[in-house]
Parts: sequence; C-alpha cells; structure tokens
Amino acid sequence: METHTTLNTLRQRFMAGEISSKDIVVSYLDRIERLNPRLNALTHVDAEEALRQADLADDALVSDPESKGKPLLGMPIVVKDNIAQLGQPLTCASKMLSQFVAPYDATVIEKCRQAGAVLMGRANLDEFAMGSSTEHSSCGATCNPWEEQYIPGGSSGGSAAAVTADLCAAALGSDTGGSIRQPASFCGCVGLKPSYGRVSRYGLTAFASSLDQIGPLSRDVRDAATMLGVIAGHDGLDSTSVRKDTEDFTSELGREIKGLKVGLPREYFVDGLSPEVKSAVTEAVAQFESLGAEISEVSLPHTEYAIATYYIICTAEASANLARFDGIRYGLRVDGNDPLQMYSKTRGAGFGSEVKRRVILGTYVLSSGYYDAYYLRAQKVRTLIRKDFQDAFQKVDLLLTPTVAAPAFRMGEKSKDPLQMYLTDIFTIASNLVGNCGISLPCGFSKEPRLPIGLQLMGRPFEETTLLRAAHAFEQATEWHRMRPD
Amino acid sequence: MPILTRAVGWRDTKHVSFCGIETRGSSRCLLAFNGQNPLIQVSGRLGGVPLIERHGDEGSGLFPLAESERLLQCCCMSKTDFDIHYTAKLARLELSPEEEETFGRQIAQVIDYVEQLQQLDVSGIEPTAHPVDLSNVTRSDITGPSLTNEEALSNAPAKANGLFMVPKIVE
Repeated sequence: METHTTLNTLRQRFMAGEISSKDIVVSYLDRIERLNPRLNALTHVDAEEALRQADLADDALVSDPESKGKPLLGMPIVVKDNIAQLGQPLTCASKMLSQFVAPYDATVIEKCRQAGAVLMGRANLDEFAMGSSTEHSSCGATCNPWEEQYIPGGSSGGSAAAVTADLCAAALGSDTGGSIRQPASFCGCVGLKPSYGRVSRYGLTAFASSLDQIGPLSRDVRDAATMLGVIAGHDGLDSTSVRKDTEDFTSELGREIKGLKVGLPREYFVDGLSPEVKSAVTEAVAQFESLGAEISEVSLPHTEYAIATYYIICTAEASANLARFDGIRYGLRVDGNDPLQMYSKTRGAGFGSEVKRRVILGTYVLSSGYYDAYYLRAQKVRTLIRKDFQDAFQKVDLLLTPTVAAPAFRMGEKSKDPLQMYLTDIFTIASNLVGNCGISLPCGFSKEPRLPIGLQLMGRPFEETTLLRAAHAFEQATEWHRMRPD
Repeated sequence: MPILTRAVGWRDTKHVSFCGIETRGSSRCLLAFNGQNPLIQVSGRLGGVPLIERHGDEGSGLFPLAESERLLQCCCMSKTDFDIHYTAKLARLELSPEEEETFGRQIAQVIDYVEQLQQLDVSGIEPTAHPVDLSNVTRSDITGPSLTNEEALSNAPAKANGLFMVPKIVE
C-alpha cells in the first residue's frame, strides 16, 4: 500500500474495491511495529481488535448497501489517550490511571464507530493534557518524526506524530490551549480546534472545562473536514454542547476565496518571532493575497495578557477537575493512616511534576483571599480578550497568524523551566479563551534542522466551513502538505 | 544599582536567591541571581514590554553577594506570599522537600508573571466563565440505562459486596 495517503483517498480506493480494510489495517500495523518503538507516538495498540473491526468493515461494504455512506468505513484512526474508549486503557499518560480501563465510550468514539472507523490505538500525550511537548508522559516522551531529538509538541503530540509518521489515517486529539494546533504545527500536519460547544466532550478526561475541545489531526484539510463532520453535533451528555444543525463541512472546499477578508493581528507579528517563521508566514500572506483574499491589519490589544489569563483559568479549573483523583473510586490508591493522608499520598505518588505544579497554582489562585485578585480578575480580562476578537471579526472573516513563534525545540530544552514552556502557547491560547475555531496547517520548513512551520487561521465561532474553505484553498495552492519525514 | 520594580526572593541553607525585574526607561530586564553565580536571563516579553537580553557579569545587572541581604529585604517587600507547603496541603497533595523547593521557586515565577494582570483596569467588566451563552442546561427527568454496579466498580482500587472500600473514617 502506498504510504502517506490521505484518509479520503484511502476511502475512495476502499469503496472502489481496490484495497480491503484488512489490507489497510495490516499495512498500518506493520508501520506501527517498525516505527513506534522509536517514536513512542502510541501508548497502546490493539491489533486483534483492529483486525476484527476491519473484517466487519470489509463485510459491511459487500453486504450492507447503506455502509457506502459511512465516511470512515474501514479507516484506521488513533485516539488520544485521554478520550474514553470502551474496554481500552485510558491512562491519560498518568501513573494515576496506569491500570484504568474505560467502562464506556466517549460520544466522539461512539460517532466514529457509527461512521465505520477502525479504532486502532491510543496516542501519547502530556499527562492529563497538561504540557506543550509530550515530554510529561508516564509512558515516556514522543519524538518528532522529522528529527528525533526534537519534541513533537503537545499535548496531543502522540496524535500529531502518528499522523505525520503515517501510523494511522487520522487521529483525534484535544485542545485546551493549543494542544491540537501546536503539535500539528511542529509535526507538519493539519490540526483543527473546533469552536467551543461544537463537539461533545462526554468521555474526555476533563482538564479545563471552559477551554477543552476535541478535534481532529489529519494529513490534509479535507480529511479534517471529514473528521469534524463525524464528531460534531449536539449531545445531551455534555451540557456545554451547542444545538447546531449538522453541517457538511466539506461543502465549501474548492470554492474560491476571492474577496475573503483576512486580518493580520498586529500583536502577533512582533519581535521574538523566529525569522524563519516570520518569512514562511509572510509568504503565506502573499499566497492568500494572490488567491484574491483581502489582507488587512487588525489589532487584538489585550494579546499580551492572554498567557497570564490562560494559566490562571486553566490551572484553577484543573485543580477542581483533578480533585476527583482521590484513590477511592478508580485509579491509584496509596494507603495512609486516615483518609486525608490517603488522598495526599495517592495524589503525591500518582501525579507527575507538571500536573502537581498546575494543581497547586490552581489551588492558590482559587484560595481564600486570592480568588478576586487572580481568578475573578482573569475572568474579567477574558471578557476583554473576547471583545478584542469580536471587534476584529466585525472587520475581517478570518485571522491569520503563526501557530507558534518558532519551530519545535529540543527535548529537555524547556522542561526545567515551566514559564518558558508556557510562553510558547502565546498564539494558540486566545481561541480557547474566546471559543472560536482555529486550524494549523503546514506553511514551510526551517533549514537546520529541517522542521515544519505552521500557519494558524482562526474563524468566528461556528464558522468552521469558512475556516476550512480558506485553509483548503491555501493548502491546494502549495506543496507543504505533501512533504514527508521519511 | 538598578531599580527593581518587582522581585521574588527565597533562601535555602547555602544561598540567598532572587529574581527581579529591572526597569530602565521603557524597557525591562528579568534578572536572576542565585547567590553564587550571577545570572542574567531573558524571558521573552513581560507585561507587553520586550525584555532585553543580557548575559554574564557585565553592566549593572551584577549583584555582589554582599548586596544580597539588602536586595533580599527589598525583594521581600514585594515578594508574593505564596506558601507552597500550605497550598499543597489545601490541594491534598504530598510533596517531597525537594519538590517543595523546586516547585515553590517555579510557581513563584509563574505567579510573578501573572501579576501583570494587576496593571489592567477591569472595573465595570463582567467576568467570562464560559465562551458560549448557555446556562442551566438540564435534561428531562427520566431514567435510562447507565453503568451497572459491576462496571462502576471495575476500576476501584478496593471493593467488597458491590461497594467501594475506604479506610475507616470514624472510631
């Protein structure tokens, strides 16, 4: 089987009877066996189950005429290991859950199953999705498929590396502050963060509930649109899920973008941007212009406060969400002389260093006497940041920025300095604070070493169709998405 | 001597350490000092102002050890009163002494960074808890299938008679 085939091409060939799902799955399992020991992108692979699902897909194609309409029939998908999949490990890359087996399917998993997907394995992440490098994992770090001494980004680093190294047709990740878009940028694939409320989080291990969103990582924009079509939709099991009609997100792919208004936020093009990123993004802007987009400068004046706002809100919410890990109902238990000691010992032994730091910081900003000064104030600044975006989206249809200020960094380079690690999230966190949709797609490479550079587009909440149309137009006019690490 | 506009300090048995922010006109520099080796580090941008990169022991960023007591006092005046031991206790999280030392320093740096929000005037601004305007979402009050007792207990660290086992709470 030809490698690095997009999900949609693979699907066409499968539907045409040129290749069976079993052949596809066998070919991926073979690649996983060869490449995963080095990359450590997947934490668990259930080959037997994958082959069983592939057989079902092959049978369905012959016997069930309705199966032709299933968008993922027979297609191998991997899932970030913080999304529950019945009967499979759900470790969240934490010692706390090293033995946990999910007793139910997340809504997105149920939807993938209905669409006919073959759920092949679990993808590595930073523990509980807290991190920007996939170094903070109880399963060990994931490598960047382009350069193994470099990080793949995070927290969905396993999903991004798996797509880029062609260990699956597409992957699911979660994005709380850039955790889909930043690894997509560092690995050179497409990563889509849907609008807040677009995709149900039922079955996603909660990190920061007002920011978390599940989304796809894929080889191209069309695949991202297909995946979004599968997982989107209102769900009564997630009270933040919004009632929106199901859309065909591929409907506008291929439509021209003449006259589309694209804004460049002034505050995102500042000193500190790596020269290679700057020049790649500048060329991307020129490409958009030549495709007929109207480029203008806009301002998001509170950008400089976004990181501080984000790290107060996300740690506060994390400290509340992770209170459930108390050693009683599931996960690790370390005995103590009394329940309080048991909680403390369990959490001390079960959580890794980044999770501990965030739980403590979150506890601090919510604690009596500090709540108003930190948490409440951050929520107010969040309103200001939101207003910045509302104002900008009055003038333009989309915002165009780098996804990250520099290409991937070396393993270990920032793991000793949390603040430096946090600062890398500057361009991605605002869309989580605001709830709009965002996508990262490849737009160039650094020279030495050769590492991908990502372009970020952000759209108004629930305007994924426009976002994907613009991303697709750029992608099809360039060759970046065809570059492969091997 | 540079003017330290904001600083955090801490001390262990051997060293007096601090990091502070030096203001010079419109630019700022983040300084770190560990009591033995003067270190001057950059930290990207702070409070929206790009930080100047400076290295080694050149210029006025160098603080002799003899100055450290005085500087630490000055630091302590604006030092965040973050208490790692107490906060970890609130979070029901046991930390080793090494973790307390390392995380304490790292978290103090992050707190110092997020302090920049104090510069903003937020009077009259409503807080945003959530990006979409939904409130009081409820489902219909009807029973439906859910996890069985066995499934609910499947990941329990200790169980007996269809129940979770917990340590003794009352004497």
